[in-house]
Amino acid sequence: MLFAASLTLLSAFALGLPWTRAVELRCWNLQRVGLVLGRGLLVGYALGLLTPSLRALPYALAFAVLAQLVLWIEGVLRTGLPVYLDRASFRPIDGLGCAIAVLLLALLFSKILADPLVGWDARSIWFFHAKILYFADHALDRTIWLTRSISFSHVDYPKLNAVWSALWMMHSDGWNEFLPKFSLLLLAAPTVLLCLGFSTEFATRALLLAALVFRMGSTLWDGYMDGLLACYAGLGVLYGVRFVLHGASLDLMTVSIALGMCAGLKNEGMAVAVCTLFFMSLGRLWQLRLAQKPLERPSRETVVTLVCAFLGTAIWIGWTKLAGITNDLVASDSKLDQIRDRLSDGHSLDQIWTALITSEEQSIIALVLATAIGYWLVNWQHFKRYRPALAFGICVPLAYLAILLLVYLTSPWDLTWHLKYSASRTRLTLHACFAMGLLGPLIAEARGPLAARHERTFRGLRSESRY
Amino acid sequence: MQRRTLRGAMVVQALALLGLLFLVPRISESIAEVAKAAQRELAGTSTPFVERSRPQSGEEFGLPKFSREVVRMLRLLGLKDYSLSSWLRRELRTHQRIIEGAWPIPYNDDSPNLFLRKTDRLPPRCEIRRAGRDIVYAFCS
Repeated sequence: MLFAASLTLLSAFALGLPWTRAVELRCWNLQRVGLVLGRGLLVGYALGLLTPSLRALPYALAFAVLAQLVLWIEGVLRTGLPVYLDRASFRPIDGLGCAIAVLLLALLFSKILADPLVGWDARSIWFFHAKILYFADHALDRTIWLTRSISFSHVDYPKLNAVWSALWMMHSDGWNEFLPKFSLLLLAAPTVLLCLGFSTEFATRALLLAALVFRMGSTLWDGYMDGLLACYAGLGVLYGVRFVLHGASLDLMTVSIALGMCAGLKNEGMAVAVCTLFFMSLGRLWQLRLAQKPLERPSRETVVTLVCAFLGTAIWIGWTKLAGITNDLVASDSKLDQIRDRLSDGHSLDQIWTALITSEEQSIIALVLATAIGYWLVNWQHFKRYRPALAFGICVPLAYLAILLLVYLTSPWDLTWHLKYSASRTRLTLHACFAMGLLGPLIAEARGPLAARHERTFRGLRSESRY
Repeated sequence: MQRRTLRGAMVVQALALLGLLFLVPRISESIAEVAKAAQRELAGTSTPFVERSRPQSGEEFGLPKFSREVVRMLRLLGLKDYSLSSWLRRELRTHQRIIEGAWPIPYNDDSPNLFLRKTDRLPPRCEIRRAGRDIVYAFCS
């Protein structure tokens, strides 16, 4: 099983490799590795939705690995073998980061596969959809998803986890309650890599792992998507802050992959993606205006990554619209009346607010706010330069909070019941965005500049080799 | 460049980390839980991998007793579809777990293959074909 697990992980990685400059630059920092793996998972999602046979897809993935090998050889030949073998152009490998990543993923592997699927969402939504795909062998089939008896399982929800779980289970003898959960590790792997790849500083890594990975607790391994969604939303905001500050295309690609994952995991993820992309664009434009620089033209790699990130989601949303599959939250009428009633009853808004911001979260927000305020008091002379990044970091969680309030105010269900079963998980994403939005500008500068230095060195070597 | 100009970034991060660890017990609980699972794996006290790879393994933990029995009978009898008694349909958790547990065998309101509790009243024109511990399979014409 370990062999099959490694093969699946490698296939996902290989799927993400085409049109990346990572091979050409040999720039294998952990952010790059996480980015390529995330991209592979999202490309696999799109392929899994489109393929007429999921059972045949692993063979296609094997073909992708081979094709990648050919591309790599072509890249080596094009660059020139002596340059490629020159040790000076190799980026120093982040040994500690790699060791921590392998250890954490091994630990998560043992935890994820230790227990069977038990929770309602895990059994009746996420892995039930995976089971449906596993037996149906293809995804876009109206007759399956519109079956009346399965309408309880929210069939309109995104299928990123379901596709990868079904694909992985094609290796096994039959469906069961333990093995499908391996998809959780596949989806969690980029979060660990991106947390570790953000910086080479130990304190930053520990902070990100604690605040984004371990903070999610059991939602990372019990088959719910909320923990993963919160991790990716937090990472999207964190890398978004750095993109607003510096405008590096690697960060933009990382943001798009993190947001693509959010959109592929849950419907709420689409809201996070829209908010983050909107405010990030505004923040970057503001930053460029402050620095009096022109707008950068995105590279081919960036455009391809952006397309890959949202391709699966676009296919799924487009298809559900065509097939007439609707979400139960938007299926009710008289939304405005409902909002008016709940706003005027005097307790609904309060009830939503206390469900989303509990006393524990209040103390965390107070801590993060105090840290941020103290920090900017000490660094007041640099505050102006950081205003766009800070504004972005604050606007995203506030916009998301507004969306959540709207969702709960218009909920067709009994509000107490709806909040009881969802607020504890929905607020994870909100708080991850809030924490990363406020802490992001503080830690955005704690980046090891090794990757950039390496890219410069290698470019220099390439230009020398031409003469 | 900025790392030199921005003072106290590392101190602030260390403080935030300590604060988070102190204020959010879930972080340390998660670390302990993951470590415990790894320890069980290394000590060989967890469910063996061979067992976890077996088809249908783990159903005993996820399915309530009525659902488990219906699903097992469905597989044993090799039925193409099934229907459920009104009590089993009303019990949402049991009903949903039967549907997802039995998949790809579809639930069909008009199916002649009816499953009911032993204590449920047998509808007219139905004949009991098999009886389990708590569940009965009846064929209705």
